[in-house]
Amino acid sequence: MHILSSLWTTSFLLFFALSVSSVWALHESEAGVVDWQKTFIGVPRTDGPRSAPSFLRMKAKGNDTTSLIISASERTLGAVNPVDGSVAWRHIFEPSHPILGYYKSGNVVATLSGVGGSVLHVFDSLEGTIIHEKRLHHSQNGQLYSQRTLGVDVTFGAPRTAGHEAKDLFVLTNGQTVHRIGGTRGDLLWSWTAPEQTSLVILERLTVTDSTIYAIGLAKSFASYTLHVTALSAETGELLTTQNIPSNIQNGSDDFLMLFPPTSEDPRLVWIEKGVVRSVALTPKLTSKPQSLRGSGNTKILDVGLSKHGMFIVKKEDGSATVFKLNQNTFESIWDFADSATSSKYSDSIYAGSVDKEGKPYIGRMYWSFGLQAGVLHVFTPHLLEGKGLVSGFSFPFKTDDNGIINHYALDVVNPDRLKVLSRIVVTTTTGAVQLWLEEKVQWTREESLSTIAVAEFVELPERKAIQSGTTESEGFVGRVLRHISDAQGFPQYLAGFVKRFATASYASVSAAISHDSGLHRDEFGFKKIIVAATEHGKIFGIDSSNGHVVWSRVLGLGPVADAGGLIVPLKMFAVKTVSDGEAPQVVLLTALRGFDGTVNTVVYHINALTGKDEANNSPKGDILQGTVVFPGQPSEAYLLPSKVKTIILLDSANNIHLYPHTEANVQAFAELAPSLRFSLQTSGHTLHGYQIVQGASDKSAFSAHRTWSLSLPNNEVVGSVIRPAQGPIASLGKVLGDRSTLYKYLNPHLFAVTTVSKASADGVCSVYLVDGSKGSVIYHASVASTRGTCNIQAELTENWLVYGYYDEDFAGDHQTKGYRIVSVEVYEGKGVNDKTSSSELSSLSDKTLDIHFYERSFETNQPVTALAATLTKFGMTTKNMIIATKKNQIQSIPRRLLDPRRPKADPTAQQQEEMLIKYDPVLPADPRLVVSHRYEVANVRKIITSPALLESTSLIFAYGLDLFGSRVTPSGTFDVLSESFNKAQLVLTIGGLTLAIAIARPMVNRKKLKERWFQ
Amino acid sequence: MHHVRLSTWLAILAVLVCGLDAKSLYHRLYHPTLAPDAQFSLRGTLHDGAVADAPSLQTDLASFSEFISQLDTVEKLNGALYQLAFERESDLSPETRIISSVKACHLPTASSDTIFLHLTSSGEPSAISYFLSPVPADGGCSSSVQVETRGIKPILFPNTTVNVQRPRLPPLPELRSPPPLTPEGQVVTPAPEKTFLQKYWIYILGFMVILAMAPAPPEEEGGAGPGGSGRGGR
Repeated sequence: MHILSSLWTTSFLLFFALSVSSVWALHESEAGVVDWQKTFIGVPRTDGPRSAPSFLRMKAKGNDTTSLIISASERTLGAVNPVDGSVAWRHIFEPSHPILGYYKSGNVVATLSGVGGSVLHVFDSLEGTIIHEKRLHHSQNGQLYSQRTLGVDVTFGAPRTAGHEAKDLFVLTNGQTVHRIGGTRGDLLWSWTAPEQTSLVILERLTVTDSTIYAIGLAKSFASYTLHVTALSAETGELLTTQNIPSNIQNGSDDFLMLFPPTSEDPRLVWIEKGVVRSVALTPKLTSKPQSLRGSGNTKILDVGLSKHGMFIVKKEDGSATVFKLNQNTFESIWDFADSATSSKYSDSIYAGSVDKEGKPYIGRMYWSFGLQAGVLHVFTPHLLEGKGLVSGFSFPFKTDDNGIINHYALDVVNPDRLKVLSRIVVTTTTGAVQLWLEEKVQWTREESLSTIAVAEFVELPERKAIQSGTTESEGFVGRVLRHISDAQGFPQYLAGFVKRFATASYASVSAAISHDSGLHRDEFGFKKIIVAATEHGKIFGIDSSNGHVVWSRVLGLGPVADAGGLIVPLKMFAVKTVSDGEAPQVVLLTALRGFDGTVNTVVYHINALTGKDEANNSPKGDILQGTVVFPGQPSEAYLLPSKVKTIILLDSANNIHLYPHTEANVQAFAELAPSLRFSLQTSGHTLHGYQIVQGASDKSAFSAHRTWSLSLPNNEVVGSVIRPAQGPIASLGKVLGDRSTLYKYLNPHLFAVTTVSKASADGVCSVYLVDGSKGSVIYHASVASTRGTCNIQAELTENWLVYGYYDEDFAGDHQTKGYRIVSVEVYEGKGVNDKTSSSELSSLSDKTLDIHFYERSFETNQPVTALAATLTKFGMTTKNMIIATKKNQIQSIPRRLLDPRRPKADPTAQQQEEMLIKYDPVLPADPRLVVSHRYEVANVRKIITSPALLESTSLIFAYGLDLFGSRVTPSGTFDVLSESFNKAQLVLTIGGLTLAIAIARPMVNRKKLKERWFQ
Repeated sequence: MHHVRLSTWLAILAVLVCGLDAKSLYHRLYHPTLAPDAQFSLRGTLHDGAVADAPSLQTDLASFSEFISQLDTVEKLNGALYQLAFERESDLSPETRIISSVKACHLPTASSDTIFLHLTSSGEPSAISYFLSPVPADGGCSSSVQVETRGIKPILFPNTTVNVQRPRLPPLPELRSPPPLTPEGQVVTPAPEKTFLQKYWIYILGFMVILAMAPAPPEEEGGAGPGGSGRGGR
């Protein structure tokens, strides 16, 4: 009866909550106030000149020129405004078509994407609009080379008709096909493919003159490569001649480059072999003889992007660099960079070229000075001092503790005065930051690694302490009085504030922006939290959940592989101390540290969530954050011990258990809990195992895991994701129906969901499982057919409610259709209503754990779901909405009522109406009021996390992927706060008026009563 | 059956029609410290939803019973597991063997046992869940009854139930019927609904006629007002 009454109370409250507000949408006034969004272009790929950031100068309106920084990541081509670092435009590519490179020419940027460069896009570089798009071959016909960017190139030729601006594009794809694409409309003018017998040749670079196009390739010969040149007619694509150039290339495409000196008609191919730099002029008949540059002992030739000025750099064995220029078919050494030889005082130099507004070339040399602990940039200006050249330079205080190491930079130089050279550089660092430096001052930093967040957690902030001073035992009477006086200094302000608040109703508003002068303290409604987010680029961030600003960031140290280098793969994050523990909140980040030397270590980083401080005291002050190596090898699973002692249990590959922090107290607490602990983990992709923990017989502090159950997926299915329900309070154990009967929720605490992916190329099957992690029982198992080998099932489990989305391509009959589906499943105890098995307390050994029944409904949506999460509130009473991220780059909040699997197919009866059930509609409405991200574009969302606020009505959401988005949602309306339109002044005035009336009337009444007594 | 391609489902159906032909069911008594290397032995074969006992079953059970009787503390009792296993025909490695465990201390007092066998969509065993009944609500071995009877009562499986569970297909959205088409492929336009007057004119007409035909009501004496004054002279 007690439960029933509590169910009734809850139902009533929910009914009340739902009826208070039937409005789902966000108010216009709240947009941008309660939510925020951050746009990213992805971490630039710096492994080649075709994707790393570079300056592009172009014509803007009128005769002005403007410049943008163009950068390509795996799937995003973006343009950043160098003035303030804002994103001018970006284009996101499909996952199946990663960008191979971008190629720029004035107001046009072209990209090749997909296997072998299957698709060409041409963008307007000022606006980012697509001018044209062309599929050059089917992805299946793409050639996969060891290096992804091999065998593709784009070069811009002269326009076909004089006076026409759009240049035609010559495109090399698949390492063997050359196309000419019309610059205006993107029409294919001709295509030439290398004949079969030359398939050992991979064409790599294109060079075009007015009449001829040269495709430079490498022919594989024994232990080395030979240069191969094919000359085609630029007009018709006809093969003019093809031949090998006698050469001996060791390092592939790094060992040759092209030069187009303005003084010569023919381009020149330059390469290095056995320490000697050689070159040959390219003519349509390829009749020129190669010639050698004087001098040997060269190790490398560097293309710094100044090939049109005939300039390149040659590096010697000692690391020193010399600038060469091709002049009238002869090479001149025009500059030796002083002190550029390899040294222990500074790092290896990086060279980059630049061309200014007037078309004058510059070459930059950057290195890290260990003595100065700063970056140094030298800029060589060849045209100054009557052509003798001048080097100017400066050092800039780059912070390696905050941004790692510089991977790449692009140079932009102006020469405003005769001897004045001003330079700005855009650097890309190992932590994924993109920074613009104007001389020695940093202008802006874009933390692009935030587009690669691997794990994130909400952390609650502590309350502001009202009284700061404390008492000491030695405090005397006078001391105490003085302390009280000093504490009371703020009282008048407090009193004034109280009266003002009482009279004018200037309370904190739920729809107002959160004040940020209060520092890192909780706001009135608990909307402000810290999101701790670890990225794939070795950096961890603390983000303010109310505005998205980075509060702190730390670079993660590589510990044992600091010398060899390595990759930090964040796996999980645990909140080990929260505000309720009375201390500053702390998180532990679990990572697998993969060294480039082949070692793998399990490393944890213990961090103060408010400041980013190292709580394990591994890191010297001001240094990067060092972790603790827990054990060598990859962890197979990790859990936070479900007890007051917040200990992390880590399992190594041999199923030995390690504890972090490993203290005597923690081991003892764990030993007490160990016999009752059961956990599951996935091994080898298609098996799931359950374990129990056994204490060592001799060593009582050693624990190991022993298998108690095994679940085996079909051979062509592997585990895609494991979804554990969010740990939040459950307000009601059941659902009271219209006829006063009760459906008891199946609340097995060991329940988790598993989605699988198909390994079969066609006709594969993927599944969604609900598994009891303690016993290994399968509670629910649904199979869906894969579409062209992929399923991409997204699922979320909360309480007894499972929601999953997938694409269904198969259909039959008039009443079916292919499309994106969302399936909503609710699991209840027993065989029907009023059948109760107390699943939340039931031992998993009881066969009643499988005594269940469920309701399920399927809905069509118009967009694929990329991530979904259920809202989470403080007491779990508020209706749970499903927050979904769609391919349309939106975040939607789908009300539970729409996804209720018990929605009747006929018109709802009176009893069903009482339950607020609405008639089943197979299509989820594409209602813009459900879009909580309103006008924001939130691209490629991989995961959504939710967290309760202090208000029961409100849940905080944070979505991350390429972009970040934070907001708060109220699934049942803000039923626990007064509405904004509530007229407090009227209430106060009414009460005041009544009080006054009483004060006036009371003596009159008293007098009247007295008089009445006299006359009685 | 529209969901997964027809060929796949035909293959599944074939497996199901042929039944779960004589799948071997293995068992062992396992204790992580006292019997960590116990081997699985044949408990029986599963055929047509029933378990046919293996000849060695009684010997095995006797040895299990003896093992349990030697466990003299609650800790040791709690650690002992009775495990049931299937081997997948497509993959016989021990890693992919599917296992379910119960506490061995519940074996002597069990009056019935249930095997839930979960199949994959191709009809192969994917998971088993094995349950004994009755078990105490907390699932522990501390009950005095179990300690007393553990060595005396022999282990029997008098009443084994086998439940076979297959994956389900997600429900399909129930779309509305498309509008009917004419043989020419045009949407059939329903005849426009008649107006109220068109529908009921006959009744209205009849009513009017009746009204007109009805005899005039008897005149009231001394009727006032303009209506009455006209006929007042009769």
